Amino acid sequence: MRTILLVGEDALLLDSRAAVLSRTKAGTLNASQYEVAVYRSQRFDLLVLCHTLRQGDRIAVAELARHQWPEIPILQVLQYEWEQFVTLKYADQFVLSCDPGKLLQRATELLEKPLKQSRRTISDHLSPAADKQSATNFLR
Amino acid sequence: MSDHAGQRYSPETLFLVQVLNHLEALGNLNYLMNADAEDAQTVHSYVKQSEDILQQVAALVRSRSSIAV
Repeated sequence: MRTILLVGEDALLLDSRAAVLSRTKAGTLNASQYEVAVYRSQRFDLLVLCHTLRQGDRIAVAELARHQWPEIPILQVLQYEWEQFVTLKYADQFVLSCDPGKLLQRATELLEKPLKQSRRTISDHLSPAADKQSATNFLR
Repeated sequence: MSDHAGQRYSPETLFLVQVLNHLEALGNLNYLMNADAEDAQTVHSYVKQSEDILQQVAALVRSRSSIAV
C-alpha cells in the first residue's frame, strides 16, 4: 500500500486533508515539522507540505526529504499563488489550500507516476522553460 | 506559531489563523460530504465532525470576545 506523509502545524486541518487524500487509496501519516525525523527510516510515496508550516520550516523539511527520500515527490499546499516562486525548487507540484479537489487530483497524479519521472529536477526549474508562466501552470 | 518571515504572530493574528485553519478544515469536510453524498452514514459522520469544528470555532471566538457566541 502506498503511503502519504503530510506535514503541517495545525492537527485539525491536517486530519481533514488526510481524509481528502485517503481517497487516493493511499495510507496517510500526519506529522508536525518536529516529528518528520521520526519517520526517517520509513518509506513514503508522496510528501505533502501544508501551508501552515512557515516558509523557512517548509524549506527545511523539503531539503531533509530530498536528502532522505530523493525519489519521493513533494506536493506543496500554498495559501497564495505567489508563494510558489519562493519555494519552486522544493516542490514537484503546488496546490492552493482552499481547493481540496485539486489537492486530490495533484496527489493522485504524483502517486500514479513512476517515482523517477514524477520528480522535476532543479535544472528543470532553472531552465528558460520554467519561467513565470510555466510555474503558474502548476496551479492550473 | 510564526509567520512566513519568522516573526511571532500577535495573539490577534494567531486567533485569526486558527479560525481560518478551522474554516479550511470545514471546507475539506464539505468537499468530502459532496463526494459521498449518496452514503448517508458517511455524510452523517462528516456532519458530526463539522459540528465539532464549529463548536471549536465558537469557543475560539468566545475566548476572544466579550460578546456571547
